[in-house]
Amino acid sequence: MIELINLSKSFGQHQVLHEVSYTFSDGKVYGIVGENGAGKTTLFRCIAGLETAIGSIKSDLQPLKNNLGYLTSDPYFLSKLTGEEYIYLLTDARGKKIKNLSERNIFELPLKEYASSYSTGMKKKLALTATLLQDNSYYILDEPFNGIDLQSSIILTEIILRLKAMGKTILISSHIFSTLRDTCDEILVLEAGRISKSVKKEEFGDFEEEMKEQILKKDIDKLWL
Amino acid sequence: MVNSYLRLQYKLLTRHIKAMGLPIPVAFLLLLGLGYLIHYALVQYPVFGCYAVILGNFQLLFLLTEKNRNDFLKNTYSKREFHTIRLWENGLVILPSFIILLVHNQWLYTLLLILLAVVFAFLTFKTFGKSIPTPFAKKPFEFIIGFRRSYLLLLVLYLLAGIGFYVANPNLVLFCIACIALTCVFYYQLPEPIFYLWNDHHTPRGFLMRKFRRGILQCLLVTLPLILIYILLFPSDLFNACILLGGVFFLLPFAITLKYVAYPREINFPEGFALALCFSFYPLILALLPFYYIKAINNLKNHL
Repeated sequence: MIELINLSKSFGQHQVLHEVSYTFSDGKVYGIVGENGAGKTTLFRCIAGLETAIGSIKSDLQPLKNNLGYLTSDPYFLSKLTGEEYIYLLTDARGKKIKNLSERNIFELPLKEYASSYSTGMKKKLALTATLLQDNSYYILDEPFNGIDLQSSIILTEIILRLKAMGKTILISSHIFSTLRDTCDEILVLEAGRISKSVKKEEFGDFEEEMKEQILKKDIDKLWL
Repeated sequence: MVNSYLRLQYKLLTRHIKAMGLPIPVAFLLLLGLGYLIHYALVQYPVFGCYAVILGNFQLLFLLTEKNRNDFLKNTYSKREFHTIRLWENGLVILPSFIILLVHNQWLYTLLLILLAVVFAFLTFKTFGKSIPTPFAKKPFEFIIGFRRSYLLLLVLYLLAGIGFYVANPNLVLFCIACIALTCVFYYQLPEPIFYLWNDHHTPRGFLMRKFRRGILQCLLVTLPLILIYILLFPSDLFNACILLGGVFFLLPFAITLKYVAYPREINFPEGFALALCFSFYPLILALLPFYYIKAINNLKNHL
């Protein structure tokens, strides 16, 4: 369980998060949606402890950061470090010993090559593999489906469902609604730093229709005058 | 074209100096000071001083041959412009050392320096297979990256040490071991992304201690073959080797500590100055290490 209590974050005069309160339960997958700049990544970074924020964050396992796997939207790799070495770096940092890495390379990544030379999708898959091998209790996956191919997308969906079955708490942000529909138990809509809506699984269909209607009416009409 | 590229490089260099917190005139004064130090070292130790100057320039020139950087230049400029740029870059890099060697009438080394600058301007180093293998596979990352950036220098130092063994010159071997160990110290100038540190589950103290332990072990791994042969061939010089290694093994944790004092920025002037001071007088480390250690621990509390 992760509980956010009145979480606020500002960058100078610009307030990005406004007293966000929510409880994320174990064994559930939460989708966070919102327009660009709505504060999704900032929210994730605050939960991870990469940003200081006002308010408090509680979790069953302490410290939260040592039990949290965070897949950033744009993973960064140092030059001259191979995929294999990156995985060892991240798992070693959590005190995990990895055996038979080649067998656990489910995305069939070229682990002996420099990670910085990977394509966008491969980088994402490498970062995801390293995060998963850390064996955490909580996961934050920021845009995990961006840039990855169809096959990997199917694998990732299955991985998320298995993590959920194992009782892990997972927070995902994605702009691809179908992926959220397939994986999430609940979707939270973040608008200008506030959770404006919480949608349960049984309401996903209506929510998608409602969103489409709103967005198309608002924007496309303007484009075609 | 070439002119504007070099002007841009100068602009980038000045930005880098300003980011280090140094006004440009001060940076140039420091450069002059460094030049004087090299000059002084050459007066004191003419042979090893020249070796050090050549090896230092060798590593700088090697870094400029980095494949991605050169690929970018090749894609952007014509072949002729590319080689002109590379010659200019190498020429500017060796210029201070070139002047110093010339002042000391070290004609042979001056010629060698020019030769290196020209040769490196036409070289691009391809990786062996997919990546350069290192002996540190499961213990990333400073030594892995550092090793891949300096393997040619290490190779030259090993060759030079081999000559030292062959001609029974313990000082030359000792010089090479010291250079290798010092190269390892420089591996720690690269700060990792905050995310890497965030991932670590250690306490600041545990984190630093693990870095020290691994740093010393990995440094030993690189230098041990030479040390063992040295002890075997020159047992009467064992004391000198111990003094040198003892110093380096204090300098390495000190460099690691300074890295995390400055973190997340790179080591700047104050930390660099402290390192240079300790390098010239090892015992100072004993006095400064506890002070910087506490600073590093406090800084790491913000990131771990």
